[in-house]
Amino acid sequence: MEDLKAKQIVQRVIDNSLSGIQDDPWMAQRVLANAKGEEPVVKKISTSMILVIVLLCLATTAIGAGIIYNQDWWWNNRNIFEKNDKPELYEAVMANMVENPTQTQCEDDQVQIIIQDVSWAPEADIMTISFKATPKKPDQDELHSMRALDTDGSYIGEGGSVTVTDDSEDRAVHWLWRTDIGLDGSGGYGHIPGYGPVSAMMDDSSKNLLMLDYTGTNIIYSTEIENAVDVFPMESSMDMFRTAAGDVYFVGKFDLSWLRDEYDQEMQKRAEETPDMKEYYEQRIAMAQAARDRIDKEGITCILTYRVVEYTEGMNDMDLYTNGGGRSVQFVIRPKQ
Amino acid sequence: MDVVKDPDNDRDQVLVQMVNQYQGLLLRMCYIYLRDMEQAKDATQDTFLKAYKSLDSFRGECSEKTWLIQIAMNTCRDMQRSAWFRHHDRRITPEDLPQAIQLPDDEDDLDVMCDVMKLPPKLKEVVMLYYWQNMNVNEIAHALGITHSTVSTRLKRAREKLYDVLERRLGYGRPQG
Repeated sequence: MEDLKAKQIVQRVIDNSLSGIQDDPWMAQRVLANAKGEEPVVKKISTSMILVIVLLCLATTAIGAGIIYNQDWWWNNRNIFEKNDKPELYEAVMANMVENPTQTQCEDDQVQIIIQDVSWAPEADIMTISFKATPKKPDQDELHSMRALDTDGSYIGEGGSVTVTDDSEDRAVHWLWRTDIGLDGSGGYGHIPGYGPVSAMMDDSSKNLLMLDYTGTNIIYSTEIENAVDVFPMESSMDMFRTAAGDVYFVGKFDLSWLRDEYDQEMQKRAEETPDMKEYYEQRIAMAQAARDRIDKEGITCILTYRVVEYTEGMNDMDLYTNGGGRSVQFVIRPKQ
Repeated sequence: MDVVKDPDNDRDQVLVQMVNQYQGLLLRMCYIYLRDMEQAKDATQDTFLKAYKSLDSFRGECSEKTWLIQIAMNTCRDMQRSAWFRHHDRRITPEDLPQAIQLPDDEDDLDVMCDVMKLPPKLKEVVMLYYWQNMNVNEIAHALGITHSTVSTRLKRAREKLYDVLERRLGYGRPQG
């Protein structure tokens, strides 16, 4: 295959795959408004940066304080934006919090996952969950979040530098990010505290390194076909980090705007405006309706999927990014009456 | 004529024309880079804002498109390096792609797309610019602010990985020699 052919394929793949992205008709107006000082566009980022700095400090001071990692702690310590700036959302989440939901984890001999609490708050268009992941064989295995790998984007694999320096432009080796070991744990690598080559950043490099990757949470809306389920994927954002106790703690926030009637109307409107996407939007409406039909007093059944990869130096990247999947936890949300 | 260099255009009009002409490209580029649609929208908006503020300093040493891509790539890099980025879900599966209609025949293409999006950022940049946008080495060097030789080196590494993906997903053979 020649480069010309590869170009044709890449162009086709990207253009087709991303054909669903729509332009924002208000983009120019928003940029002009921002430029003229009506709403500084940097506000979001700078606020976030300040938040992260505060959180890092809090996380550092929290070490050793015997913290119980649950959403009550998370919303009041690590993520305080909503508490301060969106109190209605914060209060809705807190008011609907349910601990220890009914749950079943798949067979997994490496990691135990416990969904700790769930908040179903449709009045604020949000569902939240948290889980704690613990290595089942802590004397053999050390668990970290996959999200902590190569966070600076400098890893390029083969061809990169193998000499580790503070300012390596292209690295051939993976780096692991740690926030749970404090400001003294950087080992001299990198500009971020606790960031450096994987083996150097482990508590005990003689152990197996397990990397936990969260891959999604869906609502199960149909189980009509044997051994198969239909799921409704929800838009989400998440936070996942390693605690001082050696667990990995996760909090996910999920959009529930699809519960509203306006959701169907919006999808329908989009389908009419873009006839070539009609089938896609109609499918979204059908899935949302099926998911809504499942929500009753018996609760909503969700499936959270994850993967665990045993990391070894020099392992194939594709294995690192794809292996260890097919694992899940099913749990039931029973909205507070 | 590029909208920026048209003397009849005032600043606001230039901005509107740039957004109309390049929003789709930059939004897709930022999405491929950041793997998060909300972040991509922020990055695209930020790119146009920076361009608007820098209109007077644009001297036409490269095309308007290359200039905007340069700003967009720098913006994405800054966002990716920020700690906040780490707290967003960046998983990408074929189902996450905002494709118009997912036909069965497209499944392999969607897998290729996901694999491209998983490439290390620096290789992804050159894949986007060289293979997707058909830019030459000079233009890529300008857009990314790196030397020709660095472009060539990254292109070589990117080509290896891209051909791996195309061979595995679509069955295309590697070039001989």
